[in-house]
Amino acid sequence: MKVFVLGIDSAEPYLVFDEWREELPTISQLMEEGAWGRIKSTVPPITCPAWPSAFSGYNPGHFGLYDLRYRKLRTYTEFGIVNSRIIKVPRLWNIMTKHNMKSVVAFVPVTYPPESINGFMVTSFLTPSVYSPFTFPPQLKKEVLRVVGGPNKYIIDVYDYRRKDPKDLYEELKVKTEHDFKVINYLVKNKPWDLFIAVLMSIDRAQHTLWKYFDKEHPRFIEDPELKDGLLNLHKQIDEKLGEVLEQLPEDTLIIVLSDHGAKRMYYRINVNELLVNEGILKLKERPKSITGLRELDRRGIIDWDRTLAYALGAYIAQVFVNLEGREPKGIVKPGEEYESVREQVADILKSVKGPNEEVLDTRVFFKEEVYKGEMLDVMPDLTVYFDNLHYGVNEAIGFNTLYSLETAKGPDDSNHGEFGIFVIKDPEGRVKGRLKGLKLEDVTPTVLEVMGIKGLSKFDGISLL
Amino acid sequence: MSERVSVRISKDLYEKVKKFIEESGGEFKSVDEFVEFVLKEVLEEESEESVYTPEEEEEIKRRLRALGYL
Repeated sequence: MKVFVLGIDSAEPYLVFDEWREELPTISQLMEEGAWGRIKSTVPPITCPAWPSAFSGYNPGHFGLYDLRYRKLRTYTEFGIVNSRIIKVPRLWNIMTKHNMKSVVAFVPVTYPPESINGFMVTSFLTPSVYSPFTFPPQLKKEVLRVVGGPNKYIIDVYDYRRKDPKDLYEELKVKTEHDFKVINYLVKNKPWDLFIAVLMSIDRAQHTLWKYFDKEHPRFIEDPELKDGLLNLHKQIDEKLGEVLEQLPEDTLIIVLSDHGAKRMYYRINVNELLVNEGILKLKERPKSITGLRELDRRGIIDWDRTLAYALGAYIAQVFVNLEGREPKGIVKPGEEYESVREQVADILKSVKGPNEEVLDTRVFFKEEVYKGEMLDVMPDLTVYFDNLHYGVNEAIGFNTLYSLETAKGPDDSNHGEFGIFVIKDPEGRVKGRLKGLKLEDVTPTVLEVMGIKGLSKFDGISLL
Repeated sequence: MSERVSVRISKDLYEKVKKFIEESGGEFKSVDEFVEFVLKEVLEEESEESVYTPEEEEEIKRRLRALGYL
């Protein structure tokens, strides 16, 4: 049996399963004929670690990633961009290769540089440029570029996102989806495969900017006849194109449609390091006169690490690191009791933050051992914070002189990520039917491997749904 | 294969590697082959962080910053 997986980054269960279900006939039909439910993302619900977790079957503590960037060892604020070589656990296409089965992997996040697999790979938005070697085998690149009309037509991701007129962005995302499906169709028809995985990024990119045009409860709601259905239309476009792909697949193909996380309206961002400075947890030698990034403050020697207990990273979700002795370059907090007490103290501070009008926020703080397991536990954040259950994002820069940012230094901020994504499965043998509960991203890999007849599923953090 | 050069290591370590190779069932034919393999592995691990050139990394960071992710 073949397996076809379409990932729609950031597709929100409430919109796909409830609000817009009737507008999305392909996905609705898969739901009716198969099984569906919301699927729990990783902590934090961010593209990376979420997709690597889905396609490895492991909790992020096994591969040590909690964001699209990673902190370089023995530094506080030097960051690298995640890449395929950092992930040491095998992913589905590696396992398939080992079992002599073929995969096509298209636009899956954290696959650059492409790996040598039994099959075909086109890397995703973390590809540096159209001149980079972004396919395996390398000669596939020429075919992919030809399919979309040449190198100057190939869209890796949205460029100049912040400066773009939302209408132009909307048009560009439609073109991007069109191109992605051209490549998907080409690979479906022309390459042999047992497992096909493709991930689309356009919904994620749209939601951060187009959310305020349809959601009347959004504090920055804008009435605009051209854009009010923008997000819905992008969903409809994907649904229609997916329908066309499915028509070409053999009858006995198992279909999975899923997202890595959801989305929800974002009210404000909390300036979390500003808060930690005010509370005496993060010490500065002087206050910056203007909004200054953490990296810049560190580079200028303004952060007094010898007296700092903890600091936070993150854009949409705060990740707090304790200045732990032995782990951090100038760590001052002793492991054991002192570490626990600093974590408790910081967690209490973060949980007590109220909204700009004294609203009580539904803030959740995760201690790392509650949410992570695996050999890379050491590098994971000591605390992860969902301010107001992800209705508030965060800024890590300092110098706002206020706890809340409305218009942020970070750019578009219509929506934050939600902790549940969508999951729809249609098994031609009907082994799984109806509404599913308790799903998590780690279940995807063992499920696919069971279909493929590959044994040894007990080692994964997820379980097969069949 | 490129030109070979000699590298000096302690005799103790050499003997240990030799014994390891003999007991490990023929994956490596000589100490030279083993040493070359291990050094390559180490270098490959080192290079993980430099998958992107500084310019490429800056370009990706610029895109992610605009998206609000950094």
